[in-house]
Amino acid sequence: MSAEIKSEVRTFLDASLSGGASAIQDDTKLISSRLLDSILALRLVTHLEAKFNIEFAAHEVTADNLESINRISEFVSSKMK
Amino acid sequence: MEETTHIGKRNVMDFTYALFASSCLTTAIIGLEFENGGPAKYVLPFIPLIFIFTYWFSKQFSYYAIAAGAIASSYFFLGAINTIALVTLVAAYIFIITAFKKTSLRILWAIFLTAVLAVLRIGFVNLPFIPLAVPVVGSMIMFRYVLMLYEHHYEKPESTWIQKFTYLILPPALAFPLFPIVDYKSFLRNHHPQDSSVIKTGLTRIAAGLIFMMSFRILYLYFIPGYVEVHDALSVFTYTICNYLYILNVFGVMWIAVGYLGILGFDLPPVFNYVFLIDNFRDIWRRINVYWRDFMVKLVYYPLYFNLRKKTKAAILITSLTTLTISAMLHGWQWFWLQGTFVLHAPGIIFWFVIGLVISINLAMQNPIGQAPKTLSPAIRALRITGMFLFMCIMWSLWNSSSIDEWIHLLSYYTIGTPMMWIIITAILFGIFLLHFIIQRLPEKPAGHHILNKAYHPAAILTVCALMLAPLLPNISEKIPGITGEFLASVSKAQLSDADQSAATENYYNRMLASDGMGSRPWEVHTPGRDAQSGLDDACVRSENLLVRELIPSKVTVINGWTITTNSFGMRDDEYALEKPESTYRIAILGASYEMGSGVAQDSTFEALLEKMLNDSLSPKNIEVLNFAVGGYHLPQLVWVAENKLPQFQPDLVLCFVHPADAARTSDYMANMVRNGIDLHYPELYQIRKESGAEQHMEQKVLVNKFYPFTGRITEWSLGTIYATSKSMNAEFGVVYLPSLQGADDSKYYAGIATKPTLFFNLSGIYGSNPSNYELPGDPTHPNAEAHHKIAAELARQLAPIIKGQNP
Repeated sequence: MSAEIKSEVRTFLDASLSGGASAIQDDTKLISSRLLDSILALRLVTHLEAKFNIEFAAHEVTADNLESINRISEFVSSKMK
Repeated sequence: MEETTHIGKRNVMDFTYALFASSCLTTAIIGLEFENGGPAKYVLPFIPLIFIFTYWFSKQFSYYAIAAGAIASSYFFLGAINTIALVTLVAAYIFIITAFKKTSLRILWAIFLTAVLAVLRIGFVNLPFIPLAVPVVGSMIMFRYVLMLYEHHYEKPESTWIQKFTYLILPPALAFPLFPIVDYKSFLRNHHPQDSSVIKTGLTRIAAGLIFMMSFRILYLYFIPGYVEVHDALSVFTYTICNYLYILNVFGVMWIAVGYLGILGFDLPPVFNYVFLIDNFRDIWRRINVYWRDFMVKLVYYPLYFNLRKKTKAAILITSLTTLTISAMLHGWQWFWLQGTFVLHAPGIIFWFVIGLVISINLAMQNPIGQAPKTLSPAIRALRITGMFLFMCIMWSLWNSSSIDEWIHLLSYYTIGTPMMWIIITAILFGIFLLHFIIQRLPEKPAGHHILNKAYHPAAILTVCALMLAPLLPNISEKIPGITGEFLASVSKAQLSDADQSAATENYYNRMLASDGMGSRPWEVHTPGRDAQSGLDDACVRSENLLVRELIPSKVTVINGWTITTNSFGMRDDEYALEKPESTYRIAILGASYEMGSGVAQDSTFEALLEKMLNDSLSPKNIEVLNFAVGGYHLPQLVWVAENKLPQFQPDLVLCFVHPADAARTSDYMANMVRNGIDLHYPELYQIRKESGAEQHMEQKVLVNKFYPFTGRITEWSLGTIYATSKSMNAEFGVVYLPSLQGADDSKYYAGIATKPTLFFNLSGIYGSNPSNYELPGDPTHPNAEAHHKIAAELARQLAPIIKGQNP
């Protein structure tokens, strides 16, 4: 499941960032490096909710959960359990 | 932070460099008066001192060192009682979090405590012994406390009592009322006090902040026109652009504040994100004040959006507008604590509403999820950046306006332009476009790269230190003659530009920076005795003519520690006979607060000293110097005094004192007269009013702008009329140019007007190279007793030959 989530996030980033996601590793910092701003983070959350049938709370849209592809994957997985 | 390891490899070299550089940068900030006479000068010197402890002792101990430093600096800034009050209040807020487990109870108690403080701030209950602690807590600590409450509700982060205390009372925050809202979690997690990379990045940011502030100072002193100088398309265009560049000062304060936190080991993200590269409306939100944006997104935007997103399709629109509106109100909240009043600033609300609206529209028009944004060509992006720059300039001018009418009046000057003006405007815009086009062609930096997010080589930082300290070298302007020396002298201290001497710029950030500055004046609201002029009304009676007010005869009035004693004719002077005694030479002085001697003892005013000096040197001649000056008088009022009060005293010499920017201040006076419907009395003044198009219903700033082109004419008419009046009394007439303690020398202007046979006495340079030595304590705008003595001595020297040559 983790691989699927990661793939989905990567696809999203590839399509959303002007430079694509080819240089982004699983542990690349997305929030603190400002690759993901608050608006894009919201779009990613909406996308993940629709794809994996989960629901984020407002306070969960944080660097703790969205800082890297790895973190996103862990958090989404935990939501799906 | 790039290439940060956070491994605590302490070494003496890094420590020595950081201590030396931070001390130099702090010296530069204080020496160059970027602290504006505010609390920074008490607080910042402690930070290199705290750094010694944070660098060499354990991480946990570093919090104690920072807290102790904050308390010590607060003691020097606020005094013992206020510091105890401050610590107690902060402790009370932390107690609310630790004592109550339920968030609702925490919020309830926090609201209760804040309400108590608000009542104190408004002044419903007067507790004179803690006046300063209340605005400090309200304006500086409250936003961070809200973040703390939020995080403790959702995340319950592990934090000790001392960490909470340090977060709320951060020493750099005490120095800067306009302090970035540091994220609580970042504060707790990213503290690496031994990490050289973090510390050196902090130094980079302080050095950059200094460069921003110095750039702003140079722009301010040499390039930014005043509102009153706007009279056509080109000047309004220049004004609009330059006004937006006030943001450089905000950059400076914010980067310096974050830089100091870096020295203490806090690894924090950049506070601005290349503001001048905004290329679409959504970018405004992304690039301006990142810390504030994150605060608002966490506390307002996300909670509201998640609440609305399943209820309405307009969730983004509603959320964006609400967030920006609350953002505007929170600026008002901060201002409330600083000023004690809550003012609804209509242009500010419209500014935020429009920004919110365009961002919302931009968000609504964004590509569907998963569809990448188009890659723009460098030319298109440069064009968009130029367009957004123009948009921001226009919007910023709205925010800076005190009313909508004033803003519309300002923009109306765009309709007054010659083809040449429009060619110049187009050329400037093309230049901006070209600059951005070149920037777009530069190799692309990796995502997240920021020029101020890395440790620069010590040589670069030390070069900045040397350049910034250079203007502070003793007597620099005398050692380096010419323009360079004058330039170094002018940038070495905080001073008002010519434009701002006549009309203070109404601007939120500028008010924050220049008036409370890196902080002084809002704190001074409660500090008595600061302004020598305040309280003068007690010594005056309202006048129904254009004098507006006159000193009450035979009255002793104590004003903030100095005394005005008037004689039976309503002069701040000794008693004189109305009829001039035999063998007496009489000098009548016309002027305002300088000449009246605001803030100094009556026998120490230059007028009193001049009389004594002249009598000592010219004995047996009897010299009388009569002081007709009244604080706040302007040239037209001096005309009235000359015509209506002087003749009965039969003066032999009438001295009219003028100062830098007096001409400009005259437009303020005229605006006030028209706005208050006061009879202008003189046909010439009525004619000028008619020609200016000034109407009573107009905003003050608009009126000032309308009269400004006529100030030269008013000045010439005033001096010419006083000259004619003097001649009709068989008196000589002299114009005395007395420089102010701040501002440029415009003596040549008055020398040009006061042509022969008028006498002209030029006191330029009377204060030497460092006028600030002669400022009245607590009132930098008026000269102290020492200055009065110098003025009297110089005037006596220049007047003696003239008096000797006359037979009274």
